[in-house]
Amino acid sequence: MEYFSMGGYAAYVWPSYGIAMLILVGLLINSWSITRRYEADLICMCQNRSDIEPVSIDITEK
Amino acid sequence: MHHISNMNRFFCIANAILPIFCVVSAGMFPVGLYYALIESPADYQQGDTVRIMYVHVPAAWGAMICYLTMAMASAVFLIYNQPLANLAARAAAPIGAGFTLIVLVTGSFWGQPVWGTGWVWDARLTSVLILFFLYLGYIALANAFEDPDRGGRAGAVLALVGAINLPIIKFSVDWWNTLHQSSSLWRIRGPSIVPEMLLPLLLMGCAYFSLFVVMMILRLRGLYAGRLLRQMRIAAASR
Repeated sequence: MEYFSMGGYAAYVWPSYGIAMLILVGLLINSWSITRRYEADLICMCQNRSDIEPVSIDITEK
Repeated sequence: MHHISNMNRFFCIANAILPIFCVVSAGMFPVGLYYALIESPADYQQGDTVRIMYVHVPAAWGAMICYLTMAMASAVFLIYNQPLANLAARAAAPIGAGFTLIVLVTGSFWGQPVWGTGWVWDARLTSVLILFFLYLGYIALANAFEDPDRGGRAGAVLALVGAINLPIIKFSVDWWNTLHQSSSLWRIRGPSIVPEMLLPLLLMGCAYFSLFVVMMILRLRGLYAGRLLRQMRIAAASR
């Protein structure tokens, strides 16, 4: 219990670690969900449209 | 067509290194946190508040590296019109905004006991706040156009103009009389920080950096897939 009091600075140390880890985990989940959503949609669309090869599409806007 | 072969080669390499950085990140965070919270000593002046440094300083490094990535990608996109560079800048912006938010919040928690205030308008704190707004501005601007290339170009100009803020952040503690202390690590005469505190700082730095690489690769894959989807929908609609 002595340890968790952080020499009397528990109210500053623990929230700092908590918020930092919360933001990092949030960023990671967000990054992962973007990838999963778009890649899943892409696979669906390619399966429905067998005439399109995704690799042959240029992503530069004409 | 050479864009596509570049793209495939890039994602081959990215997917190959992704598991390595996942493992490094997953390993470094527990080890870094163990040294930061348990193994390292309290400071003789600041007491245990010095432990905030181990989440605050690596986040600040990450925020700077992220902006550097965004600015360089923006320059490549503006000069060579390389689509992957546009996606890289877009991928880096939210990560950088998150890192900068960590810097600001943990800095405030550190400032309250040590300085007696959570916020002052001094050069270092203000320039980091501007960095945060630059990230938000980039995200807003890059997504404000129907055409992602036009949005990317507008954002790229903002990112490059805002890059002037990077040396200002780095040297603000030397140029102005700030409440924020100057760097203890990047000094000509070597670090002025004891090894017991340097180790957790570097471990957490590696942890943050490897996580940054993981999130960059994931976001680039997602944004690339999103761009392909958009192209296919446009092609389907014009048929």
